[in-house]
Amino acid sequence: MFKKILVANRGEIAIRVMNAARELGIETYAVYHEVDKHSLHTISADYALEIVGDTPKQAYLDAAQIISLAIENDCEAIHPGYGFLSENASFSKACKDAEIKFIGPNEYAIEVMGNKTAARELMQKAGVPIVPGTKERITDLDLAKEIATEIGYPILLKAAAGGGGKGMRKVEKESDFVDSYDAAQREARNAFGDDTIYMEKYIVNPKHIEIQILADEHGNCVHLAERDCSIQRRHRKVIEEAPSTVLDEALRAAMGKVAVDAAQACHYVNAGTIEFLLDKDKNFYFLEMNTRLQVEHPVSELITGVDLAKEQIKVAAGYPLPFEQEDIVVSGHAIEARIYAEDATNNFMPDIGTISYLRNPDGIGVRVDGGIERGDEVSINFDPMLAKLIVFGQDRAEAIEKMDAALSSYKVVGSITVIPFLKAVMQSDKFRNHYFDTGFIESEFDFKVLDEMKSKGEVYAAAIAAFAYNLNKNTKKVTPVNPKPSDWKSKRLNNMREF
Amino acid sequence: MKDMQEEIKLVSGDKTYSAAFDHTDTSKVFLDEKLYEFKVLKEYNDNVKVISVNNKVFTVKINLEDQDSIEILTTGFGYKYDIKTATSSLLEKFVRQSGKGKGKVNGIVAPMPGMVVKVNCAVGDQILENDKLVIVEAMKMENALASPLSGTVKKINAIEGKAVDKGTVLIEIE
Repeated sequence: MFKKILVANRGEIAIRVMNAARELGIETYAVYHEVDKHSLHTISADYALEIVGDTPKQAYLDAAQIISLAIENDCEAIHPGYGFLSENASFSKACKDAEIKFIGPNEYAIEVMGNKTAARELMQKAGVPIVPGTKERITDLDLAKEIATEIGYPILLKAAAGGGGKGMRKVEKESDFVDSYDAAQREARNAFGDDTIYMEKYIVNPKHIEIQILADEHGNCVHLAERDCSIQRRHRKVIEEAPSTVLDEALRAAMGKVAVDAAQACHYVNAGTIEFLLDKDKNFYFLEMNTRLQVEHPVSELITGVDLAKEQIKVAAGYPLPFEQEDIVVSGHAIEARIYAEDATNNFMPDIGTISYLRNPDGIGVRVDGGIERGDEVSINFDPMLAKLIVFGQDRAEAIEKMDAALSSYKVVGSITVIPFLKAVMQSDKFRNHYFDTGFIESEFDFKVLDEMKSKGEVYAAAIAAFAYNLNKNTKKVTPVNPKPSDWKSKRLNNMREF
Repeated sequence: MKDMQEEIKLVSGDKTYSAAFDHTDTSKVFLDEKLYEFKVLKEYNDNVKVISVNNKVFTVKINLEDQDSIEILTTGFGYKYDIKTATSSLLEKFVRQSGKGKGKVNGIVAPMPGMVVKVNCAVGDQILENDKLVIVEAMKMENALASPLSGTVKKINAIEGKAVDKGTVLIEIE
C-alpha cells in the first residue's frame, strides 16, 4: 500500500479522500492556493503544500506544479477528486510518466470517454444504446439546423468536453438555435478551454439514472447498482438517491451489465459512472461516462456498504477487488442533498459571504461530507457547494423523514443556502410519491411554497430586526467609552502563583 | 410618547412593519401591536446570536451597518429592512418636497459579483420588461439578467470581459 498520497483538490472531496487514505494508514498531502490557507481541506491534512497561480482555480489546474510537489514530497500517488484535473487525460499520463500513480483511469479511457463524439462511437460499437444525434463537432450552422429539424426539436446542444451542465443548452425551436449555440460555445470555452459543441435529441422529461462501476487492474469489473439523479436545476444535480424507485431487479441487472460492458470497452480501471437517460417506457440511452469519483458517490456507499474512495486507492495500489458481482447486495435507501450557497427564490443565484455560524446535523444514518467550517468564506472563486448531507433509512420513506429532520437541524448562517428548498422538496407529494423526472424543478416544483416559507419567517425576522436596533442604541448608551477591565483573571493568576 | 420610547418602521419590499419599544427595556418589542419577548441565549463572533423570540429559538446573523437598514440572515433566507425613524421620515419628506431627492435607479443591477460576458443591447434601444439584456458569469455559470421594466436603454455601464461588483448598475433604463 502507498505510504503518502497527494490530494489534488479542495473542499469536501479532498477531505473525503484524506479520510479514506487515513483508514488505510496513508499520510495525506493537501495542496492549497493562498485563498484556501484557512480552508478545512488545508488544515485537515497531515501536510499542506502551497500552490500558486494567476487565479486560485488555475493553481488547482496546474498539473506540472502539482506533480513536481508530489515528487519533492515522495508522494507515491495523486488522487484528483472530481472537477479540476480529475478528467484530464494528459494529467493522468503526466503522472504515469513521472512514476506517480494516478488514482483513476488511464489516459485512454479519460480521453475517449471525455470526448462525447468519440465516446458515442465507441459505445455504439460496444452495443450500448445511445441517443440519436450528431457524432461530429458542429462547424456548419446551416447544416446543423437541418440535422436538428431531422432529429426533431427540442434538441440539446452539448460541449464535447463538458460536464456539470456547463456548455449545455436546450433549443426549443429553430429561431433560437444560433443564440443558444453561441452561449453554449462561450460557456464551453470558458469552462473547459474547448468550444466543440455537438447536438442530440432532447429526451423530454427523462429520469437521470447512473450506474456506479468499479474495475481493478486484473480484469474484474462490477457495478454497484444505480443512483437516481433526476432532481436537477439548470442541468445540475441537487438531490440524488439510491436505489431508484423505477428500476426493478431485471432492469437493474440489464443496465448494470451494459455499464460494465461500456467500462470494459474502454479498458477502464478504477471507479467510474455510466450515466443514462431513462424514458417513460423504460428505454435507456447512454448519456456519458464520468471517469472519476462523483459528488454523489456516498449514496451508493450507503446502500452497498462499499467505501468507494478506499476501493479507489486500493485498486490504484494494485489490489484486486475484494468482491464479485453477486456479493454486491443493495439494502435500504440513501438520499443526498447538496448544500449550495444559492438563492432558490431567485433562480438559484449563487450567494457569497462569511459562514459565521455552522452546525451540522447528526444522528443515526446521518452523514455530512463537508468542506467548510465556521469563519470560512464562500467566494466567487469556486463552486458554491458547501457540503453534502447524506442520510440512510431502512426504506425510502424513512430516508425522506431523516433528510427532512436533518435539514431542520442544519444551521448555516452567513450566506443564503438551498436548505429551505431541499426541505420543500422532501415535503412535496410528487417527490414522496416518486412522480418526478429531470423536469421536476423547472415544471413541477411549486416555488410558491418557498415564498411562503420565507414570509413565515419574515415577521420574526422583523421583530428581531427591531430588537437588534433597540439593543444597538441601548448598548451605545450604556457602554462606557473606556470600560475598566475586570480583574478576575489577574486575581486568579495571583492566587495560582501562591501554590 | 415618552422620551424613552421609540417607534420605527421596517420596510421590506411592499411590506411595512411598525415596531415600538422602550430604550430602557430591550427585551420587548411591539411589532404591529403584537408583543414579542426576547432572550439572547448565546452570542458568537461576527454578530451571530441565538435568540429566543416568544420562546422560539433562532440562530441569526444581524448586520446593522448603519442606522438606515438592517439585515437578518437565517439558515436559508436573508431578510433586509429599511429602517424609517421619525427623523428619517421627516427628512425624506423634506427631500421629496424640495425635489432634490435622487430617484431610484431604473435598470439592471448586478445581483452578485461576476464577469460581464455579453451585452445584448445598445443605447437608445427600445426594450421590454423581461428582455435579457446582459449576461454575467459567476461561479462558472452564465446568468442572463432581465430588465425589470419596459423602456429605452439610457446608459450601458457593463463592459464585456470586465468584472463587476454586486450592486453595480449595469444598464440604465428610462
